Amino acid sequence: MSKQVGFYIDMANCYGCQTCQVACKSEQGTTPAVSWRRVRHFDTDYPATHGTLSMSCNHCDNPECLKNCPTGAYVKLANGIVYQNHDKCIGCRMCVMACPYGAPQYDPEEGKVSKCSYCRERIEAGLQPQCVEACPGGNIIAGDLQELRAKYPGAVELTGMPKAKLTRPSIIINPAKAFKK
Amino acid sequence: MEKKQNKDKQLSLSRRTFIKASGAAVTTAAVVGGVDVLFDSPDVVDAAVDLSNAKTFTSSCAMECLHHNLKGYVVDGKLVKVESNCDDTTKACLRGISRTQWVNHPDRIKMPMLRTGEKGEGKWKEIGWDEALDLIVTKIKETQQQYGNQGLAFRSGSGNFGSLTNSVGQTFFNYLGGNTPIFGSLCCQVVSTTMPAMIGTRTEAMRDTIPDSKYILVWGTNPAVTMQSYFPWYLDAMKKGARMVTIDPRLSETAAKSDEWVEILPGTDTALGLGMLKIIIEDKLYDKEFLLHKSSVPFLVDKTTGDQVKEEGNDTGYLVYDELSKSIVRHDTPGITPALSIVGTDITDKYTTVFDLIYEEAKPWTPEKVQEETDIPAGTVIRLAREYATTKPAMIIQNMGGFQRTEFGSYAVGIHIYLAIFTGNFGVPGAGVCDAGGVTQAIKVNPAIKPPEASTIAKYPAIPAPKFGEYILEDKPTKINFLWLMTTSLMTQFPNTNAVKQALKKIPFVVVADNLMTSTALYADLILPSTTIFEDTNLMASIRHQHVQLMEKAVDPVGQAKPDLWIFTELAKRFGFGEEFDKTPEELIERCLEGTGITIEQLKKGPVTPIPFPYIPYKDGIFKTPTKKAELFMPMWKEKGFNPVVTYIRPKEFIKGDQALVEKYPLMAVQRKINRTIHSSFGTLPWIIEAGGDTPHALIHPDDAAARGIKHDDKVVVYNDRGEHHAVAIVKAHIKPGIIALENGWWEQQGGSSSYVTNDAVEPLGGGHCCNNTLVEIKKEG
Repeated sequence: MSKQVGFYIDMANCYGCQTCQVACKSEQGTTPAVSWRRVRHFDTDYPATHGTLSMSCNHCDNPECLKNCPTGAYVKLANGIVYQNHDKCIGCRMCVMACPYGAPQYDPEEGKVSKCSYCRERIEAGLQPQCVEACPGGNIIAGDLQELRAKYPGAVELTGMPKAKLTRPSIIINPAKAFKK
Repeated sequence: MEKKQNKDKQLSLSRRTFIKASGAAVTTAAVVGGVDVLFDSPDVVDAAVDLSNAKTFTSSCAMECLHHNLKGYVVDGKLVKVESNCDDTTKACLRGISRTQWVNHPDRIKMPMLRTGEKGEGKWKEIGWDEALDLIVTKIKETQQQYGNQGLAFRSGSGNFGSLTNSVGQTFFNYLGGNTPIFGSLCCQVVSTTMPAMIGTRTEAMRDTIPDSKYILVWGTNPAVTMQSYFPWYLDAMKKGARMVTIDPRLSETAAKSDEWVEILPGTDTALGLGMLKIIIEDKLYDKEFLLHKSSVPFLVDKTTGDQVKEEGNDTGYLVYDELSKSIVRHDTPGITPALSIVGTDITDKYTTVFDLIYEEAKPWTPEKVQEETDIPAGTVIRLAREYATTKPAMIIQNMGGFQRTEFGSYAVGIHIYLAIFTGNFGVPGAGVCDAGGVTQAIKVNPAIKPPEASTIAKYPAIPAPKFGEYILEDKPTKINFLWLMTTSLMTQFPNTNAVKQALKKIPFVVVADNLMTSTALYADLILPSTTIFEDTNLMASIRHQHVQLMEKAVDPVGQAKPDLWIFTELAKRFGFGEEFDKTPEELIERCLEGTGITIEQLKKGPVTPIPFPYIPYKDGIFKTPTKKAELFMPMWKEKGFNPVVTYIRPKEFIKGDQALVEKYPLMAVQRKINRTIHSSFGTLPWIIEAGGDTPHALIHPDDAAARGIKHDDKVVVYNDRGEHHAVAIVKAHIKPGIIALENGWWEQQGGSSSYVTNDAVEPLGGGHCCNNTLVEIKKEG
């Protein structure tokens, strides 16, 4: 069985500080149009609830970006990272349309798309992805998906999120209070 | 010394769990998810920021926050990346990481800039430092000749807590002979006056034992945003079974994580607290032993004078009624049983006790009456009182929250302490009234510059900070001819911004030393480009972090920006008292550290903490007051003509207050802090704008919005007689109806601060800021 890295996201513990989002920008130097990691809000009015979910690329088992890229810019690395060879990107935005999670993002200045690399260069240097390193709550955990699943129970989709069966995202979410039955 | 390390879960994850990529040149094929996948990625992947030749430096995130230790990476003389330093106990946030963009901001002020157009018009010419400094000397001398030193005003703020920053400025003005002070913290003035008077000190960090608490009452504060790096400790407590309840008009980020959100009308917290205290007293849920021996509540009060009774000629010789000997004795007489209440004794014609006085104030606050005043259901009031008093240890999270920026905030601070003292919730892990604290609770840090003789510094009447605009415009208490501002932005923080703006225009010469064109710098006569962290050497040994930190110079300042220390040194030399100033930062840091046992050499290796972990303030209920007991009777309030024990006074600018005003402005506005800024700092950094937007928002309940035809994302104007605040509406049931939440800290260039509408009353007991007692109306823009 091939290996697959993934993220465990403790939404129940996340309080939406967005440090992960800015740490990613600081690490990857992405342009203002592009935030590889974003913190999304899940709010309800009655009852009043507020939840936040940090998400970047889910390095899917069945990556739609990769399947739809006409230039073969996306590859699935042996460790499961869905990696974009940025040189091969022609900015056609097929991947942007294909990804249900909004992970690939188009930079109009550059005319190209980029997305989370799982901090491949840091991983290869034996470090954690920068979002994981920076989260003050320790609410993003990176590792082998099977090992994460064994350690942290959780969901792969929440109400309002894309169906996990589409792309089989490599994530485990511990849902916020409002999502727990 | 044991140090708490952040218990991040990722630390337990071995790096070996990562599987390295297969490497270049290797081209293999596999079937993944039904698609053919080629592993043909390049072997070497360059990081976006090349750090292979980087030098690293450490500094401290120096504004009014938690002063996280930061590591800066410098390549070819340029700061290229900032991250949390692993030597710190908790982690820096998005703002700390964004420091790279502060230092390298394209809008940095690079040269002294002299106003050429009208004030606020934005027309400037760059001048050299010599010209700027000579001009300042001339303006100071002119002011001294015409108005005396009283005509000089100086205000530093919370933009930099470094030891070589604000205090250097005040010392400079002290050497000049003094200045008119602008008095009062906009943030926590009434905590600073009330808490030390009651328990001896403040800024003693209570955060270490939050995870030990069983009941956390977050009262009018939002630690998930304002103390965010250690907010996980609250969640740890909850995981261990603690109940967390948040009292707030808004479903704050903290309320959203709590077991219960209790919606309250702003400014009525003291009524709730008194109602809880009534139940605690009447149901005998109080800790009698603690009250008798650790607090002042048995102290006798003379009914005629209204003062506490003391032994002749002894400042701490307070008297109590001993139930055993049926006589009046000193409170610290061994073997006595002091009476809490003297009701039923034969001394009631002449005396009462602090306990009896406090009960008198609490007694009228039945749950029904509390409900009427606060809008909190009577049943909830009863439950909160019982839960808080019986689930021990219980901690009240005060944290300088918005509850105390109200018209009688001192009483609101006081009632928290009363509740904790009555239930014996002090001096043990997991209990207390949580405040931020730092190294100054353990060591005395000397001022960087040797101060002049106290007798040479004139003391002048102050301008109360919340009334800055009005006082300047009316020349109260005196005409201000020269104002120096540093590490602060009045235009985004001081209430009644229109009056502040007019005041800045009126003062003939305003110097603003800052790094960026702040909202306040717009109204300066002369802007001095000052350095920011990583551009100068400084010391962080302050009240918000448990570590003493060396702030290293990592890069040369942009343009001709200079450290505040350099600016004041050059001026001091021109005035002929430069000798004490004209030293290297390292020499001055050594002076700061003298007698602390900490050396600059130690700090070069990393932050040093002089505080044991876990730190438990007022351990075992030994307070730092003159009597070593919690003193709940406040002579200082009595001197001002107010009740010396906590009482509830209904605010004026309040839905049940001034009805003529309510008719015009029927909504209450509260101010919230947001994660994009600390006050107004960081507000124009690109990453911050990407994460937190560039437009102020106003949160309004769907019912209030519908009544005004306001829809989500509509542009709105919030207004009252003071001015207007422009924002975008968030229509959500995340706030109590009748109240709107405005965001603090937006710059003029981003549409302006919510302080345009905020109440500029001065809290009468402690001199605080009352922005959360503000009445407004809101309408669709256009």
